[in-house]
This record gives sequence, structure tokens and C-alpha cells, in this order.
Amino acid sequence: MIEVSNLVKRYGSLVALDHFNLNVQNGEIFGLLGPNGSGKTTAINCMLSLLTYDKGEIKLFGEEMSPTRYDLKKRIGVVMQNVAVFNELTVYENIDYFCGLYEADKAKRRQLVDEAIDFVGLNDFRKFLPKKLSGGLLRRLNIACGIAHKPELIFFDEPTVAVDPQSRNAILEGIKKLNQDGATIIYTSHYMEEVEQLCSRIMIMDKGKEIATGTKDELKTMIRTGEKITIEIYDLPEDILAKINDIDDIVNAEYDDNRLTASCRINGHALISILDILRKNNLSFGRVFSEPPTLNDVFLEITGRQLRD
Amino acid sequence: MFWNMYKCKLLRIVRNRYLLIWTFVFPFILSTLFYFTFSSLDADNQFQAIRLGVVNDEAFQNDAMFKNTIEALSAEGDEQMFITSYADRAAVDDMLRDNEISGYIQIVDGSPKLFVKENGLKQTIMKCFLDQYSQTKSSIAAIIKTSPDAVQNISGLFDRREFTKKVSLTKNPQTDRVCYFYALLAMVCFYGGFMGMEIVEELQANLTGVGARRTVSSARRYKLVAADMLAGLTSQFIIMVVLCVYLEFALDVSLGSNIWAVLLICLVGSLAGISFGAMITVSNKLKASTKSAILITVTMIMSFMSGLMVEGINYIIMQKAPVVAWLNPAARIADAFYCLYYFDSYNRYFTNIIILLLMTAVMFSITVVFLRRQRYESI
Repeated sequence: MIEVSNLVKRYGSLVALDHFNLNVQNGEIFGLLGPNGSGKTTAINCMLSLLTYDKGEIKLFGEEMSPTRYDLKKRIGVVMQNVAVFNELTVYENIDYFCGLYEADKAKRRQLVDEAIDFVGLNDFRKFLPKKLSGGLLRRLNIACGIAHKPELIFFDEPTVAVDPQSRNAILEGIKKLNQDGATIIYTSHYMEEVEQLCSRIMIMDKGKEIATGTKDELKTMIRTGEKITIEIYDLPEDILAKINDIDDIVNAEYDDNRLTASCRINGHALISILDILRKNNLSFGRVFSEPPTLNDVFLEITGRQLRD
Repeated sequence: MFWNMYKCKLLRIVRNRYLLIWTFVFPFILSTLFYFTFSSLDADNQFQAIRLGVVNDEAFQNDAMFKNTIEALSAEGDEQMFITSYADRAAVDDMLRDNEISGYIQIVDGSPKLFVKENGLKQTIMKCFLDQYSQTKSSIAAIIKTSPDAVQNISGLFDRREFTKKVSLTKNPQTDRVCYFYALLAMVCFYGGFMGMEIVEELQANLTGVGARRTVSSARRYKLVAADMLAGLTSQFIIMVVLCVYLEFALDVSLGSNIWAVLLICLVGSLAGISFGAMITVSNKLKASTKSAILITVTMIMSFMSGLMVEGINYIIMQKAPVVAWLNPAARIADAFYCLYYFDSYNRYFTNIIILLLMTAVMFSITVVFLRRQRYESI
């Protein structure tokens, strides 16, 4: 569906995309994950032929993409990062207008617009102007404008920024539904949990480069840390912490704010050993948490920095 | 697809309050203000009878010739020259001091003598009248003395013959105030530049989100440009026509009698204004507010140079810097309206139209060159 090879995009001396490669299969929900400024939106804009690029090749649907490939553009939907609608048109008129850029037949367009309004749940707001809508409803309108013409390939560029949890869930459910209906989705976000919940494959980007690509489970195997153990302890002497750090499966253990946090090796299990040490040293403890590694752990370990830098 | 885009653009213009205030409401307010400001302009240029005092003493009563002359010139009608007050010397002095009269005349030693408080146009007219009267009177006296037989023919002395004939080039009366309104119409055409500005912003992916959304769509670029431009032109043309109707029928500003020629200049002027705004917007990377400021400033300069604020400035510029005058599209629009009002021939009118069309073509071509680009260095 999408083949991007050796894409280089420079803004003066800044390299926004550094020999970027991407391969997305038909029917996937592909997540582009990266901190702000990592090159996600630039990559999408290049794929959409909005931006010039210095080097590389972009193929969509097996054919080279260019600004005048209207036949390819007709099969693509875009949900912009910022809400891009006309403030003077109502919800219905906005969707009808943007759908009209793809579909000339009036009767068919009316049906598509009605379906899009149903899909994003804006039936009660059909005659509302955008300024009367809440942030979440505006985002839904933004989505409806991008997908009303039923595209085969849809780019979602951070569609849930500044959206309340209810609307966010509705949007994510909608994206899953679009995928189930046959659309291939490219989804960019810096919300780990969204990407983890939604995407079949994920690419982690940083500084315009692909850092790692795979399913979420594959990505988690790429890091050396596995299970993360957290135990509430009133007081933990330094020598006991050293003993815990000496356990074979422990990568790192720290004590801070009455909490012991220990990261285990991949497939390592150190919880019983830690509890044994605490009991032997008559140290009482409170709640115990054990969680598998998250994408956040993967990202932190791979890039060495927070996702929302 | 095209008509849907066109319809939506029209809707957006109609619902855009900011745009409508500048392009529709503002011109109506300004033209109404012009009407009240300049309504006295023509009246000021008409001759108004001068308030004159005459010392009504025995000498005046005995001078039948002067008395008859003054009464004749004070008779009400189109040719009334004086509004005359007759009183004794003390009373006319008081009237002169209180500015109730511009001057007074007293017969002194058999000759009328003028008394004024200050110098001015009215005083000059009174002086001229007295000089002429005295000259005529002495001529008659000389004729009677030397050739009494010729007395029957002296009526010719009272005739004021003009040896040149005033010929009007037009059936419409000469008036100064229409020029202000024509310059105002030119300014309104160029306020259509705001529409051109908005059209371009909504088409460029590097300026607005909707521009990006439309650029990535499968709609052909030329269709997007054409639909928006046509909608902008339609609304600007309607604004111009409504304003012309308002000027003609509500404010009594004549636009001539050829309605088709008026519509043509409205259409061409609107097109020029929209193309101008589009070109200003598309040709640089300045902030939207800066572009608006440029648009307003240039429009006001062009309107000033076409006579919006100072009457006759357009003629001075035409004499001193004809190239500047011919290259000022606002001046061409104002001049085209002027031609329709004053001239029976359409030569100069069509010259203006052709120049405007050429300038529009250049501005539109520059806009299209920039708008053809769909891929940007940065967004």
C-alpha cells in the first residue's frame, strides 16, 4: 500500500527525514510513534505530496505519488493534526464540501455525508457552525471531513490532541471500525497507549529516522528490560537495596519515595526473590505491583528520552 | 463538483462578517458620509446674491438712474445680484459692523461711493458693479453732450455681450462632487482585494489547514481556483451594483445613462480588485495581518491618487506624472465612471477598460503562477 524508500528532507541545515523508509501493507493500522519534531508529520506531508523532498521515492498503491496524481489522491483520506474546516459552514455543509472535492454525484454525496455524520456521531449537530462545537466535537467533524468519501488509505495525524477521554475513545473506536471496513490506516501520535491499543504495527521515529519497527510484542522484545516490579516499603536500607540489585534477573532496582522499583530482564522473574529478601530482613511492605513492559519503556530505552520532549 | 465549490464559497462570503463589513457595509457608510459632506459643494460654487446696504437719503432718492439700477439688480429672480437694505447712514453702518451686509453704497457728491469693512470676493463684485455703473453713466453723459441725436441708440451700452460661447460637452451638468463618489467606487472595487486575499489563503497548503486539505484532495487545482474566484467576483460585482443603485437613486449621484457601461466597469473593476488582493497575498511570505495592512495601504494610496480625498489630484498627477496615473487601476476605474458621466464618446472609457483588463491579466497571471504550485518547501 505504501512504500517509502530513502526519503531525505532537509530544512536548511536541519535534516527532518534522514533516509526514512516505510512499508505499510494493505489492511494495516500502522502507527508512527515519536516525540514532537521527530518527523512524523513531515513524513506524512511528503507522502501526500504537500512537501518537496531532497531524495527518495514514495509509492502509494504501487504507483509513484506526485501532486497531480488525482487518481491516487481520490483513494486517500487525510485527517489533519489541526482542525481544518470552514468556520462559516455548518457541520453538514463542511462535510458536504470536502466530500464534494472527491465525489461529484450529488445523490451519492448526500448518502456519504449522512454516513459520515452517523459515523462520528454528529447527527444532533448537523446545522451547527464549528464555533458552536466543543473541542471533541470539532475533532470529530475534522475526521468526518477527511473520511466521508470512503478512502482506502487514511492518514490520521495526531487526531486526538486536546480531546477529552470520552471523545478520544469514540475516535479510536471509529478508527478501528474504518479499518474493519477495509481502510488502511496510518496513525501518528505521541500518546503511547493509543498506539499500543490501536496499531497492528508500529514504527518508532526519532530525529527523522526509523528507530524500530514491529508489532508491539516484537518491539518489547527489542529491549533488555521486561517485567517492572513496584513494592511499597516504609524504609529500605542501602545494603538491602544492594542485595536486590544483585539478583540475577534484576537489571536495575531503585528506592525512592517509599517505593522500590525494579526492572527485570526480558523473560526474567525476580518478584519471589525480592520478597524473600524483604522477609528475611524483617522488612514489612505494602502493595506489590508487577507490570509487563510498555511501549513507553521501549521508547525510553531505545531513544533514551521522554516521548513528549 | 465545480458548482458545489462555487455555492459553498458564496455561502462562506455571505456569512463572513469581517469580509462583509469591509467590502459591503463600509462603502455604504462612507458613501453616505460623503453625501452629507459634499452635498453643499455644488451649492458653494453657485453665485449667491450679495447683501448690500444703500443709504436711503435725499441724494439717493434724487438719483433716479442709480435708484432704478439698484432696484433692477435687487429684483428677485435668477439674475438677482443684490439683496438690498435701505436705511440711513447710521443704520447701514451698524449693519456693516454686525456683518449683516457685505458693504453699503452712499451717493456722495453725485456719485455712488462704496463702503466696506473688509476685502473679499463680494466686495470685489460690488466694486466692479460700481465701476461699470460709473463708466456707463459717464459715457451716456458724454454722448448726450456731444451727439444728442445718438441718444436713441444708447441702449447698446447696457448690453453685456460675450464674444465667446459656452458649449457643454455633455448633457449632464458640471459638478465637482461626483468625482469623490467615483473615486469611492474605485476604492470599493479594490476592497474586493480582501476576497482575493481570502481565496488565496484558503488555497495554499502552507497558509491554512483548509488549504492543505484541499490541496491533498482529488479536486483539480484550476477548478478550485476558478470556483473561488468566480464566487468572489460574483459577490464583489453584486456589492458594486447595489452600491451604484444606492448612489444613483438614494444619494442622487449620477453615473450616466448607459447602464451596460456602468455594469461593465463594475465587473472589470471587481475583477481587478480581486486579482490585486490575490496577487498581494500569493506573492510573499509575510504574515496575514501584514498582507492586510499592505492591501489597505496600497488601496488607500491608489484611491487618494484617483481623487478620493482631494478634488483634482488625479488631474495634477495626470499632468505631472502621466505614467503613474495610467498605471493606477483605481484612477482608471474612477476615470471610466467620469467618462460615462461627462462624455458622449466612449473612446476614453474603453481605453480605461482595456488598460484595466491588461493590468488584471498581469496580476491574475502572477497569482496563477504561484497557485499552480502544490508542493511546498515547508508547511
